[in-house]
Amino acid sequence: MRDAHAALSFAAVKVGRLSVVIAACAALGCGAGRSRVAYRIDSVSGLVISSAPAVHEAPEPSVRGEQLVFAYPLFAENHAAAPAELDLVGARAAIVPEGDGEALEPFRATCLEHDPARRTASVAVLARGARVRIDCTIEIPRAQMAKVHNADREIALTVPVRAGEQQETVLFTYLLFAGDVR
Amino acid sequence: MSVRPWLALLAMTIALRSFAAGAQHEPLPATSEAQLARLLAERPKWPIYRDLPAPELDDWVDPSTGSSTRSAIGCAGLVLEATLSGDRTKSYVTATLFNASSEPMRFTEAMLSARFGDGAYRKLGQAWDRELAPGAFFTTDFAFRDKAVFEDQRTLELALRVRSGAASPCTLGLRFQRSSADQDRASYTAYHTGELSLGLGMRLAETGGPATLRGGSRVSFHLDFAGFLGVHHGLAGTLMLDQFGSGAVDRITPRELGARPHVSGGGFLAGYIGRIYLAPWLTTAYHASAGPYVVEVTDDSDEGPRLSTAVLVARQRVRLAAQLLSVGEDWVAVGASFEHLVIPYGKIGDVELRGHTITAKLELIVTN
Repeated sequence: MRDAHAALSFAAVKVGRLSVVIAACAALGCGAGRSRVAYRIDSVSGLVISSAPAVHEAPEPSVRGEQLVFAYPLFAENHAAAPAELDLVGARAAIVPEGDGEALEPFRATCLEHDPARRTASVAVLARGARVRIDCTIEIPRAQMAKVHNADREIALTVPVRAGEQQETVLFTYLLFAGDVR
Repeated sequence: MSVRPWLALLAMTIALRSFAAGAQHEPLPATSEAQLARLLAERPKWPIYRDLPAPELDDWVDPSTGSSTRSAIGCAGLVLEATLSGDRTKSYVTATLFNASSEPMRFTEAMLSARFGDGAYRKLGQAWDRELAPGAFFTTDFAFRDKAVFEDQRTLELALRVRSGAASPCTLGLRFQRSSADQDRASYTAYHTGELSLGLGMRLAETGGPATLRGGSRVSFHLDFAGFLGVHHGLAGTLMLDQFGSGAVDRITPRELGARPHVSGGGFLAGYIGRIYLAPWLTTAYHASAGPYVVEVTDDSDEGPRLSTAVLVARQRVRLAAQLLSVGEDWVAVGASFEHLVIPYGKIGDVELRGHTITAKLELIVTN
């Protein structure tokens, strides 16, 4: 009898919590359908780079194990006279600090060319007139997961590019909602 | 003549080229913490961009990028980025203009136009007096109202013509190419979501009660309204009116009636409508509905119906409709239809109503 009572209480608590989560999700949207990507377009000596595909595809983060993972595709087209490069191994991500006390702790983002034949390239080289899509995957490190638990947080993604004589780092941003972690 | 100097020169050239190639692919330094902090501190407020107005047009997507997005740069540092999308009724170009120069750009005129491979030309939109600061951009959606223009096209060229101050106009162009050999029908067919149709016609044949009611008039009229939940299926309502004339009044009732007595029927029916696009401009539809139908005898007196009865009827209709012209956001179409009305039971006066009616109609349809 006590076991049955305990089981019922347990079930009631679970259902209650689930209801609260569903109600909260309904009220806040749990991030679903909300814009996440700040549209960013830049030109480095004729290399146009933008977050257009990320905006269009509105990637939703997913929880893998205890880590939060999301995709961030980029688009680049080279209109310069000389070849241009995107350094894929140099891509970095970071949770944008809130307040002065928080440290900026960049971590590596995995960026690969969308073209299956060039998935292993560490540098995306764009000949004149070529266009490329880069699929970046950002995994929030376990050590930093606490930062994204309780509030909406902005994630920065940087990709070093070289076009002609010019070298620059292009910055993109993405919004993680607190509901993504639940 | 010795070949040694030439060989030495060749070796030097190869060495220099190798060095240059090596330098070209030398990894760039990864972003440092200080660099990232500076970038974050210096960044302007970027807009959280709304989604495309519709899903991307799949058969215009470049397989190497998985996106239909294209860009162009010119006109002293102006970038045009464009993406193609489409929904059931329209196709869109989402265009972004970005000032990549170090000087503000003030456009006294800007016009975006599209030219397809077969020469079809569309003016998509224009604006005057717009200023773009260095590093600033704006994004606008342009709609192709006649989506059918995409049918059988292999290429689409966008041209942005801008004029800045007194300078001569400059044109920036980019080119889309349909990537798949089999074009997706949805990319050029406008699947309208709603329609209103007025139908006028005559009853061709009747059996049973409707044949008994016949007497002088065969006119039938309807007002249909339909909403499509998907490409093929929808819900429809019908207000219908049939005039039977006066010939059957004596058979219905021996009563003394006022001047010009006549028999009419009217109903409100609701049901299902399904359609198939035979071409972007040609549809065939099937409509099945049921609802109350009132048969009444009236005259010129102000006493309302002198005799009436209500029954439940069923109606099915097939229609062929062709789109003729666009009026603003809507389209006007004409159609021809055949209807089959079934009155399963009922009686008015001494006349049994049970029977069938076949009606042919011409329809004027407004779709959106």
